[in-house]
Amino acid sequence: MAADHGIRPGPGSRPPAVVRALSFIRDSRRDRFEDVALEVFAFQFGHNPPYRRLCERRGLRDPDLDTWELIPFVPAAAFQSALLTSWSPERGSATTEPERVFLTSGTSRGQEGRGRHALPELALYRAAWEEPFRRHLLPDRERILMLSLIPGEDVLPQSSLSYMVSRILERFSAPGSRVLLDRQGLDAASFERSLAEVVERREAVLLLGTGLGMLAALDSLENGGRRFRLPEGSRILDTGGFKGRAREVRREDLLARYAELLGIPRTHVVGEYGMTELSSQFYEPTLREHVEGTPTGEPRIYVAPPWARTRVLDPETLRPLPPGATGLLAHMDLANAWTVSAVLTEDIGFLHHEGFVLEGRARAAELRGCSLATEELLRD
Amino acid sequence: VTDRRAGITRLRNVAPALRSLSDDELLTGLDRALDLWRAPGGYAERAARDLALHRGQSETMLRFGLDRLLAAHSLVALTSWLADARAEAGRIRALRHAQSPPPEFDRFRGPLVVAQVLAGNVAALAVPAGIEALLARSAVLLKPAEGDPSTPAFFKESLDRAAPALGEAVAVERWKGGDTAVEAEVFGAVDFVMASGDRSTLDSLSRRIEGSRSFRGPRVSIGMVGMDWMHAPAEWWGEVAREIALWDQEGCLSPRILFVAGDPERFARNLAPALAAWHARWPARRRTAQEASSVHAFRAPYEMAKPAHGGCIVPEDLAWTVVWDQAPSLILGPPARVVRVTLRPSPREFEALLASGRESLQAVGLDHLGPADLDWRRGVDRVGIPRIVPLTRIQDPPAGWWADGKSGLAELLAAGDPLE
Repeated sequence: MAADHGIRPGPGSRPPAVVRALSFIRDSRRDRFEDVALEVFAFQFGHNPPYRRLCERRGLRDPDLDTWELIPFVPAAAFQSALLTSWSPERGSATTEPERVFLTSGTSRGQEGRGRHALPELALYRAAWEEPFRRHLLPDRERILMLSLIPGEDVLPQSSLSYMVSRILERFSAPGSRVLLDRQGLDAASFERSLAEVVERREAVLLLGTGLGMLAALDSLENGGRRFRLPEGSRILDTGGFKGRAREVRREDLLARYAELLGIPRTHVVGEYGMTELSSQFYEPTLREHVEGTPTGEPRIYVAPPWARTRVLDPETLRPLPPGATGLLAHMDLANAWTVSAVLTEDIGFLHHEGFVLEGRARAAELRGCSLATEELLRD
Repeated sequence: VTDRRAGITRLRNVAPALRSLSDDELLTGLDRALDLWRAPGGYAERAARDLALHRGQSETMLRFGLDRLLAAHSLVALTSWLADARAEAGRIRALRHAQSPPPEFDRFRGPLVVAQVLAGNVAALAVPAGIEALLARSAVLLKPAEGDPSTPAFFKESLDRAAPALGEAVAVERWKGGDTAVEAEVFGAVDFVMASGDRSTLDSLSRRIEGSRSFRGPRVSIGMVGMDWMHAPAEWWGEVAREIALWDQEGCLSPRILFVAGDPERFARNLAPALAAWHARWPARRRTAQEASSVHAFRAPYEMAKPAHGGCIVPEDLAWTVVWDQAPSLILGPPARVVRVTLRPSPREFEALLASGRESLQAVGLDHLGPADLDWRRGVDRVGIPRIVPLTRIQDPPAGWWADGKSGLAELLAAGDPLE
């Protein structure tokens, strides 16, 4: 993380494309996604040399495109090998350090293979997280008691998720909210005690956790023979899934356990989809639709904020696939204006109505037959 | 379960007769069976058709690979394979039983019943694996790979027709790899287990099979090309590309990195169209989402590299990716139609590099080496790679070649009791 001093881009020194993206995030009625996306891309093409080289090697030499759908996507893994910033501070600046560098967890490729998302300033990130969270988690109230099973930024300063959780707690939490997971792991006793308290006080609570963290919490309740029926209005935000982990659980099974052990119905479980390489988050609209009385009964989808779009691409050819066809998810996130907005993920899913359904992850599979991972070849 | 058990019992019952077959009966029987593969409309044709449907690979490519395999297993080649393996088995036994005089070489026999667990990355591994066991006079249970379900059955059928005494000594048993109950039963009932496959398969098997086993894989192959490549004719580029394209680059002999003298970018720019030409003749199978994703991830740093450092050549159909760089290392792309061309370092550095990956290298293909390249060639020799051959023949190994640096047939011959 950078020191908190020096010259960084600010309101007076942002390039027009970033200003426009920020303005669009703050009020998406004032502009058109297509137009902002094309301006942001032209800016990134001009100021992000590695990205420009990628575009040029893919045959794109002129950033003046007819549609955002022609913008080349960068594989998320590219954040491991290059500093993908579109910020080029002028000579003589007091600092060229970004305001924050978020690191990927590196679970599948080890610590040295962690991707870096270096943000010169956090203005876009700050603008992007708040409204979607409020819209999907708090459609019925201003604040809520929160119990977080995700460590805050004091524990994991390089985690974008922890950064967001800290901001959520600052902005939307009711008194008594706290984080129950630290470097030592889950404080199971404190978790149970906290749940008992909210039941006793009849105060609705929002539990925040990763899929894996929530699973550990449910296991601890089950092992201790404890079940709760949390007060009406209680809800869960779960995120992160089980990427690269040995243990994977079907979403349906997790939802069933939330209902069984915590008394939280599936209408009140909101999945969040995000990644370090993006600045925006995607949410399941389950709670919002329930509160608004418009449940669709459709599969659980993730919807994008107005400044992001998702495409599903044929894994082999990278050509776009029609709704319903399964492929690799690629996101165009205008909140990434400072870095690269078009990011190709290793996630598999399909487009469905206003969002996408997440089916799994195209993890770098073990190589077939007589083949070998790099690490093996280079081992001592 | 009962059928499987009965099948292994049947193998055990026919094993004594197999042990007493003469060399002539054994070798001509195998040769007659392989003739049924080579014949027009024979098993090679059927296998290629069947594999193409099952794997989504080019039938023409599969047929080419099978024809090569069969050509390598001529009667003369089988005879040499057996003779060489006996000599090696003699050495192994001499080391293990230094106090007792070795038996006559032609009395070496493998264990009564052998299980061959087959990998599926290269087609028709059942043929050399089955022959290997039968040359040891071991009855053999073949466990097909998921990606190659039919060639083990074709192999047995060809023996049943051409050499029934050998056909009786072969059984094909299918089960889902990793089914611990079935595998405990099978591996407990046979005398020796040979397995080839990926890391997770072999790790899993090694936890459950102690002693009396021999595993192969995973390994990779590379090439090293001297400065004269700049004058190479178009045919040479085609031959190099063919060796890369065969088996859709999934074999352990498929070149994955080429260390070249001179300009790697220029080399890559010559190689890419040659690979595209082979893709037109042998359309590769569709990659899985995982494989495709790995390729996109591997390409990215090359797509973003400064021109002086490296680059990436991807044709419009995205079939093959050729990346090039100036930073020699053993960093591999995924085995999904990705070739890395890199600068050949100094002889000393190259030798050190190979030595660091020796346990994982299957073959080094060499080409266009002149007198000035002698130091590099000596370095390759010193490292001790199992197979060092011309790059344009790297995927054409002889019968009984020492995959992973060992003779499977010799291991079997050394593991069994000699004929009284």
